[in-house]
Amino acid sequence: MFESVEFAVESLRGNKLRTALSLVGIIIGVASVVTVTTIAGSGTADVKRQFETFGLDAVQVYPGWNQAEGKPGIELDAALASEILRSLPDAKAVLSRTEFQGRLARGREIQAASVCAVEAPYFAAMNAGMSLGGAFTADDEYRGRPVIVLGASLATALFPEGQPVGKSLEASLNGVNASFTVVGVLAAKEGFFMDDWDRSAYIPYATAQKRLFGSIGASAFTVVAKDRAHVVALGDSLEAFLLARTGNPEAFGVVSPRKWAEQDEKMTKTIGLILGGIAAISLLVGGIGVMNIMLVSVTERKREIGLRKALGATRRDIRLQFLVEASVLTVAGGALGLAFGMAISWFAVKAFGWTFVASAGTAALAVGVSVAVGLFSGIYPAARAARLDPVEALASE
Amino acid sequence: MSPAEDAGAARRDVVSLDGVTRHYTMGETVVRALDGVSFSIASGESVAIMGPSGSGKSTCMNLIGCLDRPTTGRVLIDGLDTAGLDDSALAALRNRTVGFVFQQFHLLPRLDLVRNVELPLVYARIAPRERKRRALEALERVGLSERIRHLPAELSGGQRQRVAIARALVNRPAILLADEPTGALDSATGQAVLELFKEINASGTTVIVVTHDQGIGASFPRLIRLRDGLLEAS
Repeated sequence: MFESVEFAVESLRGNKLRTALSLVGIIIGVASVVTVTTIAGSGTADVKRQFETFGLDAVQVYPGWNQAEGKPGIELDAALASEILRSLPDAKAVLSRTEFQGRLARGREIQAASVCAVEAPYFAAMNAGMSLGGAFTADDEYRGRPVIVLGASLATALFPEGQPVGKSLEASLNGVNASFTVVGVLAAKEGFFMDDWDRSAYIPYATAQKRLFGSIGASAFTVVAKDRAHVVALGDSLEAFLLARTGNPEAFGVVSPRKWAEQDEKMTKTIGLILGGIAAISLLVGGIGVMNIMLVSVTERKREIGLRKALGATRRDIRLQFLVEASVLTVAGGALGLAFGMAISWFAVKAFGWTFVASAGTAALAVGVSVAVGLFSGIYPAARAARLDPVEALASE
Repeated sequence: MSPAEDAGAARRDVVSLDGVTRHYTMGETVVRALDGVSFSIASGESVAIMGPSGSGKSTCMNLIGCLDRPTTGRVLIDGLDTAGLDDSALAALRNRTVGFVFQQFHLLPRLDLVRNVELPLVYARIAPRERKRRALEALERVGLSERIRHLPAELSGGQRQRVAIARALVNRPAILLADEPTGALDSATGQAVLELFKEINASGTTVIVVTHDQGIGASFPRLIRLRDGLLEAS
């Protein structure tokens, strides 16, 4: 076996240009296989990451702008919230959220921050975990307590010495000043859409209403699904419901991250199918190219085959030699294809803004596919070589 | 070994053709390359098989070399009937019992001398280290101890034929079978090759040379003459 590989390498080195040309198809084929699996793998990992960090089990509703009347297209108030709950059986809760631009101060540390008034279940709905302390509770809301949860980098900026939980800070929101007690710090979390979790702070919605501003309208609704399997349907029915109510698709916006994720996944799959088709065709063409080269090689080396038979090679030895030669050829092409494929997918994955995930499985697949194509293309030429009559083969030119 | 046993061993036939015919069909016509030939060659003999082109001498060589099988009749090589052997048994017989030397040397151009000479041992499944040792030994025997890592193209015709002879001897075959071994060489070099055959024969190997050259034929102790597929003289 080792001799066969050695002989194969010798004979392929003897025809460098031809060897290189016959490899082009295999290189393209394996490069596409590698690109497909790497892009699909990285894309799936990216969707998974979204699933874990963004509130995929909830749908966001934002008001649009009614240009004709110069006011928000829809009022996100308590009446609308209860109507949504009544009309849409998939909706479990409608959480109000209002965002203020303000300043947080602690002694001489002053930070500009967006402060969101949210309801207590919001953190769970958005998959936001706590690194210190806890989120505020329904009781905090009920009593309108002046408590605050800080985003990760905001907490570090205001409390460089650490231990922020239990300490108080001064907030200035739309000209209203109030003192808050820190109850928790969020775990660092990537933002999605317009959120910047790490630089935001969160106060109870009821506190903002009762203590600071009186009645406030929500700047967004977070609609939580009863069953996470129905969250895409919930998004669609919310859109239909709001369109029926306003008669204007510009009057509101519905953001359904799960739907986006699924569309993303679908797109990844489509790209995978297209590239997979290219890969299959290139491998087929490449395999036929290798088969052709091997047939030419068998014809050219009739005398060598005759000699080897005269020296004691069995049909099996000759068959093995040409099978190994075809496989060495395709594995060499496969290795180059693997390198090209990795390079292409690295750029593609970066262009999509995903994280590059290279797996050992992809490399194994590339090698496996190359060997398979080599064996497939080598079988017929090898059988022809093995069948040659030694007398005729020795006498040939 | 007693003298009686020694004599018995010397008489043992390594090649035996018995009523051998070999017919080829070429289109409509049947070519009778060999048409009923019988002879034996004993172990340790030195024989020339001679005849003009078309006499059947090449066919005869192919049959002795186990590259071909007779249409009818029996060919025994080292006591084995080649008609009853399958591909791998025939290959093994070629590998162990027959050492080929060709007119055109048939060296593989991309392998150096040692690796060319090693080839029969590769198919005999001999380990690499032992292969190399035996190849060097065989090259020494034909007087080529230097330039062993050169490629065949870097050698003269006479040197190339010596490499081919080393390759034929490396697996210690009972028979050295040469097809016009001096045909591609000038007469002085050819003479040296024939001298080498004599030495090889003196050490006990049966030497069979197939040639059309009267002069070469005459230099062998025994001559088998073929004409038109029939034995003319033995």
